[in-house]
Amino acid sequence: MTDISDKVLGKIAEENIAPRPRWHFIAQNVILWSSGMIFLVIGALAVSMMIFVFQNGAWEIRHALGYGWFGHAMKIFPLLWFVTFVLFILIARWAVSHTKKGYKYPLRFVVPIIIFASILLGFSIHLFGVSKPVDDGFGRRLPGYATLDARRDHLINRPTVGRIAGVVKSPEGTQFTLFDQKRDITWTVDADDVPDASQVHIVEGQFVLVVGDKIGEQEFHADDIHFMEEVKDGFLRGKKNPGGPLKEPKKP
Amino acid sequence: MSAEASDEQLAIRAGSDPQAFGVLMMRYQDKLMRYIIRKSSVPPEIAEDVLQESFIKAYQNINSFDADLSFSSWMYRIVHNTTISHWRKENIRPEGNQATVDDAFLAKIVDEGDLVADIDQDFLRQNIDRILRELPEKYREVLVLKYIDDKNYTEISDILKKPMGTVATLLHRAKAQFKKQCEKSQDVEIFN
Repeated sequence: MTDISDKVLGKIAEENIAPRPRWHFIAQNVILWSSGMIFLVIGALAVSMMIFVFQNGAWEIRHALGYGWFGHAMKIFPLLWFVTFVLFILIARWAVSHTKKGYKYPLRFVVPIIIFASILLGFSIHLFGVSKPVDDGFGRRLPGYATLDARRDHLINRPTVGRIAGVVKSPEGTQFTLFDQKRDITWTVDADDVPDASQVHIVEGQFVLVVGDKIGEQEFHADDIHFMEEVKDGFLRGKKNPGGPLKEPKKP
Repeated sequence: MSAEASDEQLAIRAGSDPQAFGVLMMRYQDKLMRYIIRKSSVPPEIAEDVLQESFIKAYQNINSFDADLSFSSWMYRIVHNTTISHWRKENIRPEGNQATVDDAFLAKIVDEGDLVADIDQDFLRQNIDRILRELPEKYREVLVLKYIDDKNYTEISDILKKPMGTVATLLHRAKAQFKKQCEKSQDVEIFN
């Protein structure tokens, strides 16, 4: 069988086959590890975006919107970012198993470590306030991407299911107008059935969420009102209802 | 070229000296040839082509050899991957192991105690090739590496690029499957 080694050496000489230089493998390794770092950052970004969405998911007015905890969570669930996160985990797992020594480590240790690292980094990214600019950037550039602002607005402002939101203008007795700045619509709201304790707090300039029924093109009958305030990042957040707990929304 | 130089020393030298690589080929060609034949049902001429291709790949990638790994495991891994690529290219599945299964293998596998204690040794000796061929590839592979090629768990882990825990599990299941196949075959033979 000595001719196999002779044949191979002959072929090496004949075809000028040369070993790949060491720097080729060093570069390969650098690329693999760099890609790994990039995947880690993408995964962490996905985590920070999920934190951002859940943190600003209008939980404080969940009751007014008529959802249970699970239902509300499903309404605001950031599917794109969750899928990105899962994809990252799979790619990172593949990358680790292809490093020089990565295959020695069982997946049941590697995957939790990757998940933990990206969650930790994701929290840090979120604390730096990167999430909203990223959300806005995706909203501007990615067709079909709904920013959190747009999703909150869709959640809160749905006249056909009995919810409108905006700024109180010209309150007069149990009537007031509500200006929806985003849509440039002015509603006439009849707040006669709203509990007295809430009515006294309907003042000019107050942001409110009105729950009730649409009774005309731009007319709304209010069963209850939820008071809101503008917080950082420009979101409207529900504040403690000075009129006491909200009534359960009317079931259709 | 010192005949006493270790495989790893020769591998590091081979990056700039093809003759060092030649020495390595001489040391490994016989056992790797047997390994290729055991892994697949190809005739020796095809096995030789696969081995040549493996050696060329090894030479081209010799500068990636890391002395943290044994040269033996590194080379076996290349041959393992080249053999699988060959199957995919030729669109064939390995039909069996023409295992050089001898009494030494039998003794090793019987030494496992509870494994084949109840099986008639003569029956086993006559049918072991067929029984091995009937096992799924992932089980046959680890049994062959462990009991015919005498690889330890670390070496099998490095060759197959699987964690040691996975190798241990595969071997455990392979032995259980092997025992089950032996018992089934023996029962069929008695019935016939």
